[in-house]
Amino acid sequence: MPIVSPAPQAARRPPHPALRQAQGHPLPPGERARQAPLSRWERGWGEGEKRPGPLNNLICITRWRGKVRLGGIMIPIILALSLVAVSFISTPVVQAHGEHNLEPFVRMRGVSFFNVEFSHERLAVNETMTVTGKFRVMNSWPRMLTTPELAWVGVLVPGPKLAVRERWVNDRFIQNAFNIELGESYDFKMILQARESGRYHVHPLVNLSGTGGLVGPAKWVTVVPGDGPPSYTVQIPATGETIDLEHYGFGRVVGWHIAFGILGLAWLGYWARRPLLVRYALLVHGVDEEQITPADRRTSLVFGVVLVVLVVGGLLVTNSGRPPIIPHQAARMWDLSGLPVPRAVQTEVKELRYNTTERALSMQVEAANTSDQAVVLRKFTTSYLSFINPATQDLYPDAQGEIPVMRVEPDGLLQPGETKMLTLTMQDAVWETDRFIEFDQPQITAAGVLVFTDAQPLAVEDLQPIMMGNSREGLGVPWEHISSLNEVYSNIQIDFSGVGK
Amino acid sequence: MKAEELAALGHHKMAKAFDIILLLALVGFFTVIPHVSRMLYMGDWDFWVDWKDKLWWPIAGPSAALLVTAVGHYLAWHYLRLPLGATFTAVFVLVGAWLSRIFSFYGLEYYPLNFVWPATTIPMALALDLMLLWSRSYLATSLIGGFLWGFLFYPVNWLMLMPFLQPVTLFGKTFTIADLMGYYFIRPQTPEYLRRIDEGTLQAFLGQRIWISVLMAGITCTLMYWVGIGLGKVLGVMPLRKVLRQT
Ligand SMILES: [Cu+2]
Repeated sequence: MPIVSPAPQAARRPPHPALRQAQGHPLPPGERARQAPLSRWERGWGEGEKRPGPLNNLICITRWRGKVRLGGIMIPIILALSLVAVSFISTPVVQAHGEHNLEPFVRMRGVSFFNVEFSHERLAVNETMTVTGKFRVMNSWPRMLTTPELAWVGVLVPGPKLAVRERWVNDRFIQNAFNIELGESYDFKMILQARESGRYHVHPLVNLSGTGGLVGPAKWVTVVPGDGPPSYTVQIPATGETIDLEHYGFGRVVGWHIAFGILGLAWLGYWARRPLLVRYALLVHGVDEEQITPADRRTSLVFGVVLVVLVVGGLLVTNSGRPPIIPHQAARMWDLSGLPVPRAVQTEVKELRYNTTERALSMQVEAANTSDQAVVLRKFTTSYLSFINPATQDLYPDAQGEIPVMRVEPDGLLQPGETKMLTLTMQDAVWETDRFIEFDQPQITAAGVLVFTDAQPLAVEDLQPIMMGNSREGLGVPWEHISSLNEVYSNIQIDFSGVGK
Repeated sequence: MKAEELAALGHHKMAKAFDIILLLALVGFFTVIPHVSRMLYMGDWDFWVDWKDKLWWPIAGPSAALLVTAVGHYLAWHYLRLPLGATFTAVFVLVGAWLSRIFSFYGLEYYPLNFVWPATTIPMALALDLMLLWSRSYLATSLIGGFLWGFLFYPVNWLMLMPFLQPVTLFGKTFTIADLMGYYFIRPQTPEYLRRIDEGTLQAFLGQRIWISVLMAGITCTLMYWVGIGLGKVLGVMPLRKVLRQT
């Protein structure tokens, strides 16, 4: 390892003007004489003169490429510090709300939600609410993606501000993931418990393996402070102990972290309170492992013994008289079948069209009623959106005026055995604001479900308070009165005249 | 200059100041490692108690953690002949992990800390440093210390995990408290089916899968130790040598 000397490059470069001045050379024109005396580093060292040791070289200043610089170990230190700064600045925000994350074709062709109902819009911490509904995994699933096999239901909230106490799918208590099949519909119920006050946009969420989360219509839910901190207690049957999931086991975690932390810090303290960087200088000088003294070795034995006692003793104590334990349970349900879905009507899409000027999605559908009952086209549902046929308001006195509308021509009932060509028009900015129809996609398609009901008039009290679209609630037709669910799917004929205006 | 003079120079005010700067920089450096490295490698197993299974976590956890730790371990011995690098790294990586759990997981998202506690590697790191101090050989340290690192990771952390593995029953279904916490404290972006945990295999030796896992972990970590040392050489020694050669 070299001892500091004037850098070899210095000879090849023109010397520093001040140095030339000191050596009695004339200054080149335009260069001003320097007043301050030269430092050792600039002047270099004469023959018999004592040079700085490697420590100085290492820790502070070196000559590098003829210039005096910070050097040696300071370079990695500065690099490390900048990495620290960069990482703190760029620590990612953990979660966005994420309702429009997935590509439009996945959201429209993935899952459609029906009859989503929230029991509360305001509750206190530790109170529970229920979210129920149904979802259909669409046959129009984009097959170039992995076909999902497993699903998991939950809610989309920013962090577990509302936690999920219970999940029921098709009336079964299913906490793990479960199998699904394309074209089938499932019923879900979740019991949510409020944990922190705030106002949240709560979506039911269906996660599909291989793809990600698809969200249903959301409702704003306000959580107000309750009697105390959040708490969820369960009883452990084997011991009879009642525990609170919010902090159970944390004392033991902290205890062991502190025990091992003290041991580690003691070891660090033992070594790090002595001079550190000089050890490198000594090492360069040839003083190698002699830097570690016999006293150090004796101390290390003590640490070794304490370590063994802590770990082995800890394991013996923890294992003796411990309660019964089992491995994590990974059993996923593979035996679920879809709900029986009514199919009184056969449909065929003739044309799907999007008008960019009016932001209107329209379709021509041939509908044939194959049942022995009159039916009426009630709504079109896709992803978390619903568009209601206003002509059915006479049958069902639900929310007036605010709901997204689907114009149906010709109007009226579809009689048993009758076949009609229907033209449906849904004009709404939501197609573009929520990125359902986008023109830079390799697949410009639309899909959804037509919902026909049995056309029996219902009183207000027979209707259900369901989500009519994102954040919009109304009174809806209960599942028992739905007589047909028909999936429609096609690529879209786009009228580009309004694009870019 | 004589060695004694040099050693005395270490007590100089300037040298002490630089020692402190070095320590602070290294503390800062290893504290942010969980943000840049553990997130990529140890990932969800370290984040959630319902991922801390006995097939994947005992192998993936220590292997990933050793990579970073062996770098510190190697550089401290290589440059300063100090047997503290692994412990230093383990302590401050853990400090960083706790900071992210407290401020991000709990502070921002409101996951309770008993659900997101990180695993500790301090006891194994101390064993690694002790092995190097006693044997003065990377080879012996890799064979004994590296093996112990992987072998002890699960037992040491099981000390904290054990209570979470007690069974509870709800609506006729039995699962662990850890599972229940995973169902309850919902992770919309990490659905249940993504949990990489033991789902059961046909190779259940004597019904004691955990022994296979920890032995595998020991062997993996013996090798991983050398990957860490290689990384230490590439990151910490080669660039510095270039600089020092210039002086
Ligand atoms: Cu939302």
